[in-house]
Amino acid sequence: MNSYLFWAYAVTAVSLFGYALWLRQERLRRSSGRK
Amino acid sequence: MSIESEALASRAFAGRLEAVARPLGWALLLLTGVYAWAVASAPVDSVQGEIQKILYVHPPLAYGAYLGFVVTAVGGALYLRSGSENWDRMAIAGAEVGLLFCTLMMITGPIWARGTWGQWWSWDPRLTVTLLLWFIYLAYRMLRAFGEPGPRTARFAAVYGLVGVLLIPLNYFVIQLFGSRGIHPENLERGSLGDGMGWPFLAGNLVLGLGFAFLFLRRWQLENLRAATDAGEL
Repeated sequence: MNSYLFWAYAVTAVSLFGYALWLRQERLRRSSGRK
Repeated sequence: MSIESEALASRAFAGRLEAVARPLGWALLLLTGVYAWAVASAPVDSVQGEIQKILYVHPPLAYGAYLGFVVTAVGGALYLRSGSENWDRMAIAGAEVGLLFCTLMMITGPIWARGTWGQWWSWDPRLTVTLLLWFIYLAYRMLRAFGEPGPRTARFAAVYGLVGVLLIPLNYFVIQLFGSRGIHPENLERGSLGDGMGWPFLAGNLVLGLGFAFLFLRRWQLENLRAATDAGEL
C-alpha cells in the first residue's frame, strides 16, 4: 500500500475515533453528575 | 426559567439527542466496514496510482467542515433571534466538529500534494483561503474556550460565526475565480470521476457525512450535560 495513502486514512481514522472516545468519556462523566 | 428547571431541560434535551445518536453510531460502525471495502476495491488511477484514493476521504472532510461552519452560523442566528442558550450550544458543537474536519482536510490535502506535486504546500488560492478558514474557526474555538461564559460572549460569537461563514462560498468557488493560476484540481462535477470511482466516493461522503452528524450530536449533547451539571453546582 502506498505510504501517503496509508497515513491519510490512518490519521483521519485515529483522530475521529479518538475524538468520539473523548466525547464518550466526557458524556459518562457529566451524566454521573460530576463536573 | 429557574436554574433548576434549566438544568432539568438541558438533561432532558441531552436524553433526546441520545435516542438519535445511539442508533446512528451503530449504523456508522457497519457502514465504515462497507466504506473500507469500497476504497480497497476501487480501481487504481492510471496516472496517479494508489495515492488517488485519498479522493475518497479528502473532499468528504471538506464538506464536513463546511457543514460544521454552516451549523455554527445557523445556531448563532437562532440564538440571536430567540436568546435560547441551546442554539448557542449547537453553534459551539458545530464549530468544534467542523474545525476537526477542517484540520483533517488540511492534513490529508498536503499528504496527497506531497505524493503527487512533490511538495507539501503551495500558496495556491484554494489552499490559502482554506488556511484562512481554518484560522477563523480556530479563533472561534479559542473565543469559546477562553472567553468569559455568558450572553455577551455568545452574542459576539454568533455574529462572528455569521460573518465567518461567508468565506465558504469564496473557498468553494475560488478556483473558478482564479482560473488556471492555481495548482489545486477543479471542483468535482457530475461525470468527472473515472469508471468505478463514483461508488467509493459516494460511500466516503455517506460515512463521513453520518460521522459528522454523529460527532456533532454527541458534542451538542455534551454541551447540554455540561450546562446541567454547571447549573446543579450553583
